[in-house]
Amino acid sequence: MPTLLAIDDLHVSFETDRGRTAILHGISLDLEPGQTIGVVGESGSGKTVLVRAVLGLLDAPFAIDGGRIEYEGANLLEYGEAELERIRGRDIALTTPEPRKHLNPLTTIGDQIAKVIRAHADVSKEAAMARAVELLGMVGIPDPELRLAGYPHEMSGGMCQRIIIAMALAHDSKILLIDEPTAGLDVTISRQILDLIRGLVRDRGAAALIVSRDLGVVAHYCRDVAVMYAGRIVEQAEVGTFFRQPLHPYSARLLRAAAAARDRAVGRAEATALLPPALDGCSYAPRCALAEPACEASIPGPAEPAAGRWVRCLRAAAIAHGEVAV
Amino acid sequence: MRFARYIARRLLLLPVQLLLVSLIVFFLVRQMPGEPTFLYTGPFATKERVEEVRRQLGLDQPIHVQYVRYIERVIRGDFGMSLRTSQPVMTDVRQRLPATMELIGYAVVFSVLIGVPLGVYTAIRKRGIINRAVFLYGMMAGALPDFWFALIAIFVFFFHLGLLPGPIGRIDLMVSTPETITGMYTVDALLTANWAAFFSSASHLFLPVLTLVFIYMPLVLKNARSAMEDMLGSEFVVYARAAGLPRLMQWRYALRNAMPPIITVTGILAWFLLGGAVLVETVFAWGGLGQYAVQSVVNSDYAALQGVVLLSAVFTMLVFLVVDLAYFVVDPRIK
Ligand SMILES: Nc1ncnc2c1ncn2[C@@H]1O[C@H](COP(=O)(O)OP(=O)(O)O)[C@@H](O)[C@H]1O
Ligand code: SF4
Ligand SMILES: [Mg+2]
Repeated sequence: MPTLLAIDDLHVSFETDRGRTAILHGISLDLEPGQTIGVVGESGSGKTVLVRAVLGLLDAPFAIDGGRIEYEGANLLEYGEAELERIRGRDIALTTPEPRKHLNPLTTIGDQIAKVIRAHADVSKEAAMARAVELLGMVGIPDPELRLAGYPHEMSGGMCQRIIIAMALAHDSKILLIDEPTAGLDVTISRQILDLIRGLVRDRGAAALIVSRDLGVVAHYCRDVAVMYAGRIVEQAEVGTFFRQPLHPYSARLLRAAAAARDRAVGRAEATALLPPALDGCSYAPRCALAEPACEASIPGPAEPAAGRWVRCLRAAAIAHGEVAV
Repeated sequence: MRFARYIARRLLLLPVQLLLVSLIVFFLVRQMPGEPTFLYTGPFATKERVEEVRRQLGLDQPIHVQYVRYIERVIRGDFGMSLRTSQPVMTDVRQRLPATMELIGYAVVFSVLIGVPLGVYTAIRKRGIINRAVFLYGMMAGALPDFWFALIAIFVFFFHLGLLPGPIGRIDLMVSTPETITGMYTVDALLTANWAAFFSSASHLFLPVLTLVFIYMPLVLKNARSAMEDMLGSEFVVYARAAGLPRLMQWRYALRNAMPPIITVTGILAWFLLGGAVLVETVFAWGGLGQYAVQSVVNSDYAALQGVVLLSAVFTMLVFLVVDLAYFVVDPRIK
């Protein structure tokens, strides 16, 4: 399979008065047509920064310190604002987790969707409005015609989320970057929307990166999973094998937490908002039950302890072979 | 519909607010040092003469009786006589208010027309020579006294270059004033196609307006810049960008959302200049309301001072009514 999007060794940092903090420490991720990757990890692990970096949305004080983001033979990191404008929303579409904040409070829903449509399609305002109605229908908004004249503050959070998703679907984009799509949506609606995205990916050869803290969503809708911890992908695998046997101690902890949460009928991974300090060794070591002195000596590189399993953990091979239990 | 109800409610509230203001002013004015009867009698009058004048002016009555009488007359449109000019306060105001309105009207309009684009530009282009120049100007203008700038401007443009008329009021002595419609010379001259009067009054307006704009425009500029900066960094502009909207459209989203604070600061500027332009009025012998107010204070001219303060209160309330209405138009959330 040719890759659609190849993120290679992406480094991102954040500059403050007190100096520079690295946020992403060399992220590599390939996305093929028809593939859906679920990106999981506690909040603050860098998921949003990652998807925003792909679209060139990180302005100062963020800085890209290195890496490549290859799309259609070009490195997106070298694109200027005008070139990025051409692909944003058309080739690569993004949804965001805080939909209400992301809609312009002073103009109507219809106007905003029409603007997104007309940014890349040479159609009349009327045609754009007709398409807007169609898109709102697709994401399950009842009476879409009536919604066009409404303002964001008149809609619920879930409604705003669906409007954002409708906008992301406006141009049959090849790559969908879906950042926490289910925040604020009830189960039925989330399912409907995720089914829709899965259908688009399957039928049109698109690809999606679904950022979610809901492991259930990832299990159901993604082919692969990438686990992020403190700005690194610590494990990547096909969903089935991952859920059967997580190899990274942090992955195992996430799954246990999700199971515990499911028992409490919450269904979310644990969340700590603090980015752990960058260490010379494995950044998970302070919390890891399996940590040994070697873990603090060097940063574990990605290893393939079993076929199709990529893990950043010194003890991954031992874990994969069942010598230690995670 | 709700819009109309809202205006109606605000307008109904206006008299109540004014009554309150009048009450406060009436009593405060009487706490000022100085005795208005001296304006009538001169400082060397006999005690009997002073008492007689006090009786004539109603100043011998208890203060609440004085107040009720005053309000009765005000409701009939009679603000009393100015002791200093010996004219009805209404007549004085009718001559002076348009002068001030014309001056601060142009000052506000040009402050917005120049300040908002500069603020928006410097919010978008954070580097470069224009940004630096605007920043320096903003710092400097805030530290200069307006009358000082006025004197420099007169020195340069009138005395040195001879391009503009000197500080002798609103129109050339040789040019007759245009027929009074609004009382604002440039407007009346335009309405009556009186070009001589138009050019003369416009050239007299130039330096005082320049002064006010130069000194007070940074208020609008800085506000527009920071509002625009906030909005450019806001989540919905980031999302508009993520959705591929062109930069111009992102800026329009931001500007639209920056309008409420810009409208507010415009209202504040207009309100401030009504009294704040008094030194500039004085330097240019403008004969406006600010000068009139100062004269009234200096001379303990109760009726005139009360009239001016009430009028300023009306002006203030109207300005902020307009501000609220503009908010109403701009922001659908307020409905
Ligand atoms: N606006 C910001 N200011 C400071 N730090 C930020 C900002 N946005 C992100 N970060 C840093 O980047 C890290 C990753 O953030 P983010 O990508 O939003 O996490 P996630 O989406 O996984 O919850 C955070 O831990 C935080 O330290
Ligand atoms: S490298 Fe060591 S500390 Fe890090 S996850 Fe693996 S076992 Fe734990
Ligand atoms: Mg996030």
